[in-house]
Amino acid sequence: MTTTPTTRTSLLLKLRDPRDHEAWVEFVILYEPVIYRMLRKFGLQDADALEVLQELLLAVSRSVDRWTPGQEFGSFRGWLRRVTRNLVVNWVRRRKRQLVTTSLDLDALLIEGESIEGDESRQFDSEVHRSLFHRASDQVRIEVQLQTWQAFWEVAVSGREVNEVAVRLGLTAGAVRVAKCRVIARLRDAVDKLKEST
Amino acid sequence: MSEHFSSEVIQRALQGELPPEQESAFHAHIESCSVCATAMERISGAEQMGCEISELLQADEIGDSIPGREEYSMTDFIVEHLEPSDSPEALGQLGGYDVLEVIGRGGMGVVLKAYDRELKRLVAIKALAPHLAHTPLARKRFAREAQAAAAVVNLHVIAIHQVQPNGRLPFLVMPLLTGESLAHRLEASGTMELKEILRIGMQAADGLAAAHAQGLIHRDVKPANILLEKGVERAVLTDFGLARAADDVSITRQGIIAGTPEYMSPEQARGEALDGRSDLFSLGCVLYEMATGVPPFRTDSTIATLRRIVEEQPVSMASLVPELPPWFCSIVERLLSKDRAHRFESASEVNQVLAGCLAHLQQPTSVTLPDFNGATDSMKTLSVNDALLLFVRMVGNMFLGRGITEGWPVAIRPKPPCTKLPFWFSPIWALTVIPVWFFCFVTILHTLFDILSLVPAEKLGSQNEIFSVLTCAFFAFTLGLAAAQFSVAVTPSRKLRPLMSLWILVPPYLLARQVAHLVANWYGQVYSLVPARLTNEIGTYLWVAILSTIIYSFVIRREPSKSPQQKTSSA
Repeated sequence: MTTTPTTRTSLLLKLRDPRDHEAWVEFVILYEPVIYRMLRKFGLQDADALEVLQELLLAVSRSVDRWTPGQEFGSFRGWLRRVTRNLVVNWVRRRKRQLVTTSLDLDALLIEGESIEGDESRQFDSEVHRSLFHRASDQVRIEVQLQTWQAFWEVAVSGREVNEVAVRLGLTAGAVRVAKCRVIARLRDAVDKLKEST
Repeated sequence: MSEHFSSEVIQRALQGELPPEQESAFHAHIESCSVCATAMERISGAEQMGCEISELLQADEIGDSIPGREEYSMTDFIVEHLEPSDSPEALGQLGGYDVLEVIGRGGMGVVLKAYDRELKRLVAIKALAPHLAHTPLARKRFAREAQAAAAVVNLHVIAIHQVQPNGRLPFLVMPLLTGESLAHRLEASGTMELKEILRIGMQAADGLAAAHAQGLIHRDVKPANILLEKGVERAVLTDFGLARAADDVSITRQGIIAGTPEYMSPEQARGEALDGRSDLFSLGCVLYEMATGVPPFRTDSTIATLRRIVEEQPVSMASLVPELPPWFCSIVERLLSKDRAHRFESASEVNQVLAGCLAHLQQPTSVTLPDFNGATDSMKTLSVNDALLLFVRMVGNMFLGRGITEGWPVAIRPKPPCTKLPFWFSPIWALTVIPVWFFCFVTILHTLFDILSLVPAEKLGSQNEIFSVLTCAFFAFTLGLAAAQFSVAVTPSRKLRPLMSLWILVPPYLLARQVAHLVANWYGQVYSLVPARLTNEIGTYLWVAILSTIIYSFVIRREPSKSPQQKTSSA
């Protein structure tokens, strides 16, 4: 569960085909939140993050066909990560030239880029993991009954006591417990399926 | 107790494949049997993934939805949040109401048209947007503000029938009004007639005043949130507090502003604590738009709009619509002051001013325009009668220990408002309590001197003499203070103020003397002695009065006071 699979080459190969709209949608759904959150973690303000995100999606669509698996750039994620950081660096440079002050430190970005490469890649992976989970939870939420989802959410995510939730939802404690496990089992399946398909 | 379930049964139960009667037995068993409960946790993966799930799914400070991308289809909404209804024409049910159609959608919520079966009437339901409903903070805010809004009873504030803060989707129920929003009207007609503008502005201000009285700030006054009822000439404010529910998620967490910032106040744009006067700024924007057809701070980007709100003056209304009367422009300009201390003090004041203007517009011959001239160079417009009235009010305020300009017409109220002085500065105090105290003090001194025989009695003067001078001094002191306040209130130029103060000091001298004598009489009945010491009195009067004037001119200027009805919300 804790290791994330590398992006399947198939999706990337599909991405290189400009007519394959679905693959592109798939990519955007999964990676857009990941990249957005990474950008915010770099310290970009929301509007700026959206701007860079836009640029990044454009860049990916232009250059994905130049990327071939197993080359010196390594994994697709590594490549994506590098492109992201380069865009941020460029963006900060542009801002500096326009004499707009930003809270980002260009030097720190560049230095950090070299030294904590591993750290950043772990972060990137965990963001991908997070994004997968959110997509899965969106799916499962629609599939299960309202009460089941509520029971799961209150206990597993909000961290409330089973008995308290049971009283609030008008269920037995057993039912709440079963509901929670049921949703978790489904989430797990959904995440696995998503991983396979991407 | 029955024996433990096999892992196959648990697996099936997790997939929801058990028949209904076994299902409830399974629930009951899990509740009492820790072995099976643990097995279920393990098989489902809950044991291993529990912490991870909470961490991954809980919203953090960045948020998981990309702002502007949480576009959400109506079908999704209906499928996810409505329960099936047995009524054929309904889309579904929400909290016992039959939902008939979706009227509108905004950044923070969905508005549904629904039918209340019990009361057999149509209602409008506003539900918190699903992406906000997952955030406990937004839910809490939603509930609190909806409940606060429900407490506001006013003709010009939308009534709230019911608030349902719990459940998967918090919602509130309101009457379904027929009519259109001001935004629609403006879209269709561009600008509006002045009478209409004043009427809508006046009614909106009335609604805001009622809300502010409950400590509720609207925060999102804009044409889309002002409903114009069909048939009756009534404007109704809607969407109280919902803006706030969204604030916490969208503004503070993601640094983006939900909806349009065009009508925001500068303090809102800066993210400062707000009071009711923030709504007045927004109302000013709405008045501006009704008159000119464009909002005062429109640009093509959010950030640029915010910057304009904080830094720039809007294009003058007169240059856009030359036929607008100057008094209307100056009302709007005052509402659009960047510094909230320069705006009107309260929504009810705005309501009164606009109502006065409307009355004047309808009957120009019999009703005069409310005295309103941008409030700074007001002396020009004061008639002798007005000045006299003001003087009487001022003296009255003084004696009651209130802020000296309390109860004055808005137009000549000084800005920033005068310092409200503590009660013990008021003459009523000075003239009664302090003399009594001093009388005792002087008597004790006299007796002491007498006993000790340190000073010859004839050099000491009589008690009453001393007393008369002292009283005069007190009177002068407080009058000097009043003069300073008065001159701060009515003299626009700082340099002229001391001169003004001194002029005011001259006539009350006679009064001061009279009162001094009276007081002296009360305490000693030696009236005949006083005139001989006239020079003493005048000397004391002048020195104390001049000194206190100068001192308090200084004090009053240095301490701009806060207006009493300031309601700062918790940040």
